[in-house]
Amino acid sequence: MAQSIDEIVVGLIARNKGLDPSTVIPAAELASLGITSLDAISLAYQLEEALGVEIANADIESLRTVRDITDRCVV
Amino acid sequence: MARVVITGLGCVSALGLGVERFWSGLVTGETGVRPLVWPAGREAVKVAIGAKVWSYEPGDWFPANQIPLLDRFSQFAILAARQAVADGGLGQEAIRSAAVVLGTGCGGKETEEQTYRHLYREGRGRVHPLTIPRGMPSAATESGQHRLGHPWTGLQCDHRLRLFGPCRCAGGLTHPRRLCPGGPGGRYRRSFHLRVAQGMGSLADFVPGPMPPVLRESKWRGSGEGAGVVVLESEAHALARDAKIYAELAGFGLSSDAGHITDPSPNGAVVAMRAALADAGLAPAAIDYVNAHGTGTRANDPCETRAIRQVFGPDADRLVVSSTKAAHGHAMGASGALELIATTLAIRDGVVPPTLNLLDRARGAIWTMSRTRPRLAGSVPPCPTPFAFGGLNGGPRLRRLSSAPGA
Repeated sequence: MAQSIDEIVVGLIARNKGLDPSTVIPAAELASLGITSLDAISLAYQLEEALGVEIANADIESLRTVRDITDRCVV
Repeated sequence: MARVVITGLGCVSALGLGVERFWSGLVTGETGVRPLVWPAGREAVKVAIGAKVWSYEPGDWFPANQIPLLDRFSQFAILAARQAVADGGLGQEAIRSAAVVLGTGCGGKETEEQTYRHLYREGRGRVHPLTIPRGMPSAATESGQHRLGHPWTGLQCDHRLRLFGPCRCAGGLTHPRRLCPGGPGGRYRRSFHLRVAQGMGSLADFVPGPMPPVLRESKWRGSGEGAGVVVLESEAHALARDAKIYAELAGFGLSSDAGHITDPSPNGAVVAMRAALADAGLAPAAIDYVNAHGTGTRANDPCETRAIRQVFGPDADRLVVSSTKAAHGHAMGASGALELIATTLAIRDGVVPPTLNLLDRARGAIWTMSRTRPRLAGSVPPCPTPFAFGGLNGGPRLRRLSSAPGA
């Protein structure tokens, strides 16, 4: 069965940062997960690859929580 | 002048992972050069053979979150360096005061290819933000230092020595004695030499094709990939820590012939070999074995034969000359290091690795025939003779250290 967008986002964050996926909850602040601006751009690249979406650079800068990312990836 | 000795070896090649796998493949006449089957959509590519590191799976060696940050050439460098550090029995103190010197022929070709594919084939608008740090020629050194929480962690690169060029085929052999105590200009207690390369771009996508019954043609030499690392240190330091000593790096010569960008010149090789002999204080008659560049091309082999004849004169007919490229492929920037390792082990075991698939003996009349394994006797100062695109030529001279290395 195909992964949901939530699962893909959580999976990528967990893998990139070496985190337990259960800690990557929708309300988690990206900063608290150790996600830097470079990590955010890397994540945008990976999500564009995985989901076929396009994320504007300006949008990347406004992301604050995990939920912000999943919302941005809903086509 | 203090002696410089080789105390650790590590390599990744088409013959497999590890020095002993590499060496046993060489001496038993195996080859890692195989037919290539290209992935769907790339069948038209005219490269038919290659020496990929066939048995390699990144996930067997690196955590999943580090693999996207490490180009294939960095992964090979790190694995070879880990082996060399372990083989050399180096502790953290020794590692911290070492210089790490890396050479590469092409840098991160895997990253380059992925980026081009992404931008120009798939029409995407964004490249990975780490494209440059992952693919740049110094990435292997940097990645090893910063990314890994493994034995490599303690390796500190000296900023003054974070070298990565000039590094085509011969370039991997640039500088070794200069960076060691007692060598010209040497002021470092130890240095590690990294040689990393990928040949014809990334080989990651290939699968091997069926093997023909016999590889008969010298054209079966192909481009390859891999990495080789040697640990160099002063003899005094090696003795003080009771290290295993493979050989002395007795001399080194380097030249640039300022000739054609790809067509080799015998003159450049002659200058490098003579400089190495002079550096080692050896006469041509003292040399028993030459590990030849031996690419199997019409340009190289006759040129190299002429150069060897010019340097060794009548002794050329007594020399044992062989090339190992038909076994591990032409791994470009890694070739010099792989061949230095092969030559070092030839000293250790008194066995010369054969030249595979050598048909035209007249073309290289002084080369050993396929699958011969001449025994060496006594003191053996052999000399790898790497050439390189751009006219670079390196020529280290090795010497067996016998019972009383400090004498």
